[in-house]
Amino acid sequence: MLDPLDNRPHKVILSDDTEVFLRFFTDSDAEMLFQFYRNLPEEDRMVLKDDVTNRKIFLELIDRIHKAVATMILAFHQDKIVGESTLHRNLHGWTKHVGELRAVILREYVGKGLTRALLKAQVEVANSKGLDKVVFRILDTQKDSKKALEEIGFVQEAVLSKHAIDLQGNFHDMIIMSNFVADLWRKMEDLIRDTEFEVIP
Amino acid sequence: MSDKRKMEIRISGLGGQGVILAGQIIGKAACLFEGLYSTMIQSFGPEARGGACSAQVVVSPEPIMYPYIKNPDILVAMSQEAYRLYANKVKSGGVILYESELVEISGVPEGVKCYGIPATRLAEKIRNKVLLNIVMLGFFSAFCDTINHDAIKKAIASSVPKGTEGFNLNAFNEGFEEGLKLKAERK
Repeated sequence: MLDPLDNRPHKVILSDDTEVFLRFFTDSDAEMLFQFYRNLPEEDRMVLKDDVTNRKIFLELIDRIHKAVATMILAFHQDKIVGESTLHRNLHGWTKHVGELRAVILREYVGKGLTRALLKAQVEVANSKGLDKVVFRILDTQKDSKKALEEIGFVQEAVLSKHAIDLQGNFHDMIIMSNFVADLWRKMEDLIRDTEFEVIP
Repeated sequence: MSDKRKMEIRISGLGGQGVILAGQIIGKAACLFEGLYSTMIQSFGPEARGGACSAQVVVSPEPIMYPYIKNPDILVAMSQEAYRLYANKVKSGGVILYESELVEISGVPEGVKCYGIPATRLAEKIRNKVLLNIVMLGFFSAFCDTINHDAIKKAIASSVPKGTEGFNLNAFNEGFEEGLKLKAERK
């Protein structure tokens, strides 16, 4: 698990044996991150909720990180950013217990376990911050992302029909995937209780 | 497997501390990830939560003919009652591992070494006191040569709810490091 107070990189070995390092964002990563967003193919930029290829919006994201309302984990391969996941939260209001997770991964690293590693690390961050729930919005075409989310305990909670439109003008359903992180500890307690109860005749 | 020796382990504490799960994880680690044989017998008081609870685990490179334990090599005691009931049964040359803020040791049998760890406090520091049993497993792993600590980590990761693996492995590492440190200090 990544410790936000300890910025040492955390090694992840992908399914093709590529060694990738995860660590929390620091200000010195800002320019490389901006270029990472700018170099994304059009199709990938389309699924960005905020247009972080625009410097003004990018700086707003960095400001959110500084204000601790966003936590970003970067994935590096050979000192190059190959993916990121960000946990956004509201510190006040009726959704202050909910985090919204977003992730961007370079295509050549998709399907190798990096998405899973980045998301899993953020679920643990959410847990350590005491959030009860994390949501992730995906489009109906993002099947790999859905699978990765399900593998780490997300479930499909809602579908918003024709909620997104792609560059060709096609409508897409938006799927809200949710992970009730507070339930994890209940599951852990249940596991302990179940193992202790199971031999009662 | 020839360098591995038979080991008898008793884990004991209160219901709700994860005693049985800890025993299951040791057995799973031995069988699935070390290629050893293992058996487990579990027992507990009339009320599972808060009542006395105990797991007897035997791991061996040979088939196990008798799964009950009279004199364990290792006792993991997570409550005073557990210590009171089982400490004097530990064989000479054996080890008692105890939760140092829940158990006060006295009358340690001759030839037995005792090592304590504030596992509940460490578990709370990591995230949740429910991790107490995993901290104790890490501590246990530092004193158990028969099962490699990586095998126990694999067994933990495959036994706990998705999403809690990182916390559980952190808890294991915390206990393991503490165990190694204490062992080195006593040498």
